[in-house]
Amino acid sequence: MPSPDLEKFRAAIDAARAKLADECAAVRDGAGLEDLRNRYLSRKRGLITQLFEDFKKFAPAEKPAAGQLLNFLKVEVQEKLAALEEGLKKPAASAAPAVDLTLPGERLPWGAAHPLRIFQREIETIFLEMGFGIADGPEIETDFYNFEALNFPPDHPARDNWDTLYINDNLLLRTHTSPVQIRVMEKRKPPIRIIIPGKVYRRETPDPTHAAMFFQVEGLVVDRNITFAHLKGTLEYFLKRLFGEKLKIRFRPSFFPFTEPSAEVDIECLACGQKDPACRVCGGTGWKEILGSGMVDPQVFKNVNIDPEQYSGWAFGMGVERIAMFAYGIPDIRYFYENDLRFNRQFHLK
Amino acid sequence: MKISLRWLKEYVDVEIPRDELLARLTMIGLICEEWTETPDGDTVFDIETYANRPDTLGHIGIAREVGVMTGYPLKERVHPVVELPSRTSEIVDVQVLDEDLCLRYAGYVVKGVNVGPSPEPLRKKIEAMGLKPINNVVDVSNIVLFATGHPIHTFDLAKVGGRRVVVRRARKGETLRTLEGKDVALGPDMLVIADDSRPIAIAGVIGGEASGITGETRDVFIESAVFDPSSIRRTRKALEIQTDASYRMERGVDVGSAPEAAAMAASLLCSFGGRVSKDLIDG
Repeated sequence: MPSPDLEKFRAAIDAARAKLADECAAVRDGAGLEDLRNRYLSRKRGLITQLFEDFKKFAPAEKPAAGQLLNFLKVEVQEKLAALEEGLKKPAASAAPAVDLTLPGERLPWGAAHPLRIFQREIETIFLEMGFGIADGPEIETDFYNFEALNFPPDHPARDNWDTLYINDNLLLRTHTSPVQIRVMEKRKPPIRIIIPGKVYRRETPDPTHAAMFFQVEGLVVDRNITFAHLKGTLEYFLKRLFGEKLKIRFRPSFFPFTEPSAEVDIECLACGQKDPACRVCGGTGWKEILGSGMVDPQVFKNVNIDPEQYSGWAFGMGVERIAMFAYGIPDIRYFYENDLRFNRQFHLK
Repeated sequence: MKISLRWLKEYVDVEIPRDELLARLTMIGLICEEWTETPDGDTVFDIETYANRPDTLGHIGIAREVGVMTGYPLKERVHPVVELPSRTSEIVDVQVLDEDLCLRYAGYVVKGVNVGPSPEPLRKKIEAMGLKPINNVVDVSNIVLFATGHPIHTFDLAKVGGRRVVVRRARKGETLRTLEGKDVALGPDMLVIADDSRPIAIAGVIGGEASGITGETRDVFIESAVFDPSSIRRTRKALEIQTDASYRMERGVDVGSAPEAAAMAASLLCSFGGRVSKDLIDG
């Protein structure tokens, strides 16, 4: 229980603090400030000095509490006086407008699209101009959408080519954007003409050409009388837009469970111009594999209740990093994820 | 899949230059970008194969592709043998109990084989495949696998209890020490080859140590079978044992190539003093 003396002391300090605010507001110049300083801090008759005399009379048990109260006040007085002094040093603030509103604002560093986003948009733009729409789907998928509906039976060895990060027996991180093909075909009837950009995941140890997460752009066209010629024409147009009108392109037989027939698409090696037998980019073959494609397997159509006798279609998929690495001569896929500004700033929207 | 050019030429004439051959194989879907020259003048190239093309997992399959591509016919393959007077079924009693997991089970017995180091031409083939020669019987198994794409297995007949070969699911609690010396617990969904009392091999995956070929082996039972791909895949994943045999079996081995694989093995074993039983067991 604090003594009545301590209560009185606290009241005196509170009163001094209340007065301080008013007195500070009344200060107009250096003389006023000096006067105020003397009133509180003078060694002979200053308010703090007087209160210090009162403090000396407290019993030892109450000295810490009383001392703390007094100290807070002293610090507050010193800070307020310092602030006032600072304010008086400046030229009269109200005399002229502080800010010239006609000056340009201060520039903050601008954010920018990530190189992968820039490249993805470039790809999207080409397909949007051709009349494709954009679809997307979840990154956590079920085994059904990621594999089974795409014609990978449960024990199919082709599953080994899609190293998968499983969450449990049924859930996994999608290994490709292809499950979105199934999700779209379940909901929509043909004609379908979409691209599917998105993040995919693989159980990979990162190295210069592999990452556990990367970006794909998938394409799907379904309609009556769709043929491989449409696939070839569309992809040739796309690749020439991206890499130039004179680009050499070849289609090579391949295998994906969800397309039949399947083809991988190679483009000429731009690094060596198909001339260097020791080229590190193409391994001397003169060609660089750039995407996978094929005619939608009739079994996939059956899985989504589209009649393969009436409809046909094609699909393709490509790795965004892979194409960007090739287009810009980037030697290591990991540069995309390190967010080193010296790397990121080298890419700009066209 | 490693392909030895010299070996390939046993099955088809190849008269185009190496680089052109590789480029043309790539364009028919057999990606072929790397090769090595062996010190004795062979070229071994590495073909990237797809999960739907188990036919490309052997030299004969590749020869078939090359033949179609270049227009040269496949050469005739002969597998001459020295025959025993007895029929195969008189020497071993083969019973396939779980036919759902066993699509074909064929075999011969070869008696009187002198087990020893393989001769130079066989050793070279084994080395071209990146393997170490072990003994002539084991090497013959591997050569048949890399020639036909059809895995075969060889048992020491003397170690097959009751001369009975039973293809059945493993029973609860059964175990096997594999050829690699690993003890594995078998489950009732795994297909095994058993003798009259216990499993002696894990079908299509790996053989057992106890019935394996040793320096003392004289009589050999050649198994040339095709098992259910899904079952093989589940078994090899559960046991964490992957072999050249299981790789092919889970992709689907041609049931039609079982007789030739058995005949090729039997013929090669005859060159080591073996004599082959009459009539292929085939079920």
